[in-house]
Amino acid sequence: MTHDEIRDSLPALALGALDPAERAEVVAHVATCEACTAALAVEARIVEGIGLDGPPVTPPAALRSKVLARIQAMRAEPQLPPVSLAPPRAAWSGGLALAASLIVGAAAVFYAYTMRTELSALRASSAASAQEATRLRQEVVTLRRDWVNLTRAMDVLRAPDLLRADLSGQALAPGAIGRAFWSEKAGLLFAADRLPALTAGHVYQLWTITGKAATSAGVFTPDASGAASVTAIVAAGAPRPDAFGVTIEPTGGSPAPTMPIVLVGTSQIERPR
Amino acid sequence: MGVVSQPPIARPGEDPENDRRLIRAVADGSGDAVSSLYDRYGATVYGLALRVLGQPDLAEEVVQDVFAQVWREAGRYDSGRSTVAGWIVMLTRTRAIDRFRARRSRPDVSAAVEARHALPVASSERTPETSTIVAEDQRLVRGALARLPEQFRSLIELAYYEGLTHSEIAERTGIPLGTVKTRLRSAMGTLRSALA
Repeated sequence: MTHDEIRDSLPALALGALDPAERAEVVAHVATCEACTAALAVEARIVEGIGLDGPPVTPPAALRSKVLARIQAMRAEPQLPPVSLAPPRAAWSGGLALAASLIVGAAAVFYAYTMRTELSALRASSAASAQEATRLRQEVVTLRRDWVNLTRAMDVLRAPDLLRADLSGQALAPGAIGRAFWSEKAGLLFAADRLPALTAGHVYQLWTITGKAATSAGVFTPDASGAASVTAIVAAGAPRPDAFGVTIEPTGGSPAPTMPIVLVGTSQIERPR
Repeated sequence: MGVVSQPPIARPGEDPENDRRLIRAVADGSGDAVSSLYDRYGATVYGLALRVLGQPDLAEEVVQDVFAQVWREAGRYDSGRSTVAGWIVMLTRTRAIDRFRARRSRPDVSAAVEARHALPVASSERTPETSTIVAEDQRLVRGALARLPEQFRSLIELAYYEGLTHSEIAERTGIPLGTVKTRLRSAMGTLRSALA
């Protein structure tokens, strides 16, 4: 498509009316073109206006309490943070990365234990300030969550059907590296390093590739150092991936990968750790 | 006997600064702020979901899903990308179309629909002044939409309310693909010129 043809496609892109192949081409262009990014922002505002065009309809009175009850239930169950498996930057080897994870895990358990002990002591002590006890309680909750996440990560690494893929950076990110561990039963772990920073409105998306079919395994944004990690549950009966890939997609991710691929690597059977 | 005077309730999208305050409070865990957002947008969300789905029970489920998502993701709302009204409407549209397609026994396309509407729009912090302009934009677009000839407006509606692509609209209406593209582009151009 020429630049003018892409400009003409922006209203349809904003409406979500582009067919997949065309969409991929237009999105890839917009990602690198400031003028089209600005023009697309205008189209997005128009689409917002269309959404507000319909008449409001007063919902049944009982719906309000249903909505608020559901949110009340969500308040009681805080979301677990994602597992952080950021690899050591200087030495990227499976043994070291794993050892680092295990050491962090062991340290977290020990720390949680000492915090709990400290918390008990504080509870027993009438001199302890309530504020400090609250802070420590929160810290223990956080550490418990970290522990749950680390346990999950270790379950993947111990799974009997473990696959591993070492991903290497392609033309867009020649220095980037990544590693994925996959088990149908235990889930997916992925960590990458030296990823280039993204422009606004974009994320990296991880794909499992089986034959010619790519399935999204989630989106992620690297930290300031270029490191990132993803954990995901694998659907029961999911085919074993032949390879893993990472692409750059608009925020929220895409239904199919937009070329070119940033990181790619083929799977190999891995002895469980 | 005194009369309690109620402050007038702004139409959805018409008080963006207050909306942003509410979203920040939701992100901080305020249940009261969620209640206020529901009072402000419940009818808009329900109206849009009902328009897409045509069934009150399904529309109610969408309303619950949307406010649960607002609760979960308020911290990730980006005022540089859209107004709160625009964000909530986008969430509603995505979820309602997802259910609409699921009901027609089509594959679950929530990821596809969500991705289609997740646009690479640059984020830049909007000031209260520019947000007011955006709210004004929304009013102008709505006025222009009402004036569009039926053959143009119907295509926008198929794309917006049913989530159809160019090819799907052509298949549905029997209008040649090229004509669908031209008419949609022209209709969006008319709406854009209303902003000028």
